[in-house]
Amino acid sequence: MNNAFSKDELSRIESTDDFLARYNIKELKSSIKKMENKIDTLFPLAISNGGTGATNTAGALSSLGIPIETGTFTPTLINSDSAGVPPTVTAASGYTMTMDGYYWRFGRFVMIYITLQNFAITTVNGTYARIGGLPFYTNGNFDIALNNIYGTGVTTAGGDIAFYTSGRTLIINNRMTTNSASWQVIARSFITLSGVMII
Amino acid sequence: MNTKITLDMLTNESVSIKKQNYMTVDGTEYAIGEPYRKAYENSQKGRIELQNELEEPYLSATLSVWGVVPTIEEPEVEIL
Repeated sequence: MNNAFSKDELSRIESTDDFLARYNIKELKSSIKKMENKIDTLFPLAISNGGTGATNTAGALSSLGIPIETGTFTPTLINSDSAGVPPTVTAASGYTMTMDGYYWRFGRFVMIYITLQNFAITTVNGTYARIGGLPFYTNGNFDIALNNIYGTGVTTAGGDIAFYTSGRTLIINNRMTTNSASWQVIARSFITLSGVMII
Repeated sequence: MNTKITLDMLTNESVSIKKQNYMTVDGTEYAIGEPYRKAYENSQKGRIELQNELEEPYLSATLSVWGVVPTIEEPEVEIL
């Protein structure tokens, strides 16, 4: 079967928009390529077809039950006594105080980093030292896995301090016993720690 | 720029409040910066803190799940 166009047919085609479109094929291919790059965003694969229905990686993981997120929070020094009065915290004389918290969440695992710099404690107001303001509520008591810690302004019955999460607070204890630590009056103090919470 | 508030992981015991700033440019919404979070528990102190820091209608939505009585009791003296 001969599919070649006759001279008359070619002449007719070349006089139509179809012919012009053929010459614009390069531009059309370029447009298609651009569309391909955006296809996942414009037409996310539906869950019914094996997709997640999301338009980006974070959304896809969230749809699969593994939310990922990074963010901030504001850690605060508190006491857990029934009176609930926190220690009086001010900037150390001549310094700028910073109380910053950062978190990285992957599903139920949340890595937190707390850095409290250049603060002074003028009155203690309690006996159970805690850090509040955590970004998530923990799933029961869980020893926080510390990667590093440096802190002053906390007293214990002796020995180093340890942290574990309870609800939305970070409990500070003696590392070797279960004795609770307490804040102490101090002119200039620092606390830096990081660890993993299970939520 | 507007701030969106999300009540995340709301149970009868706790909630994690997420605040995220957004900006709309040419009809497309973009998240600005990173989200800020704070967790609250359904204890007496936690409820007071929530009422002082969370605005309506998010406050009422949380309290409607929490009910009128705290579900977490804070010990008078903490025994560890």
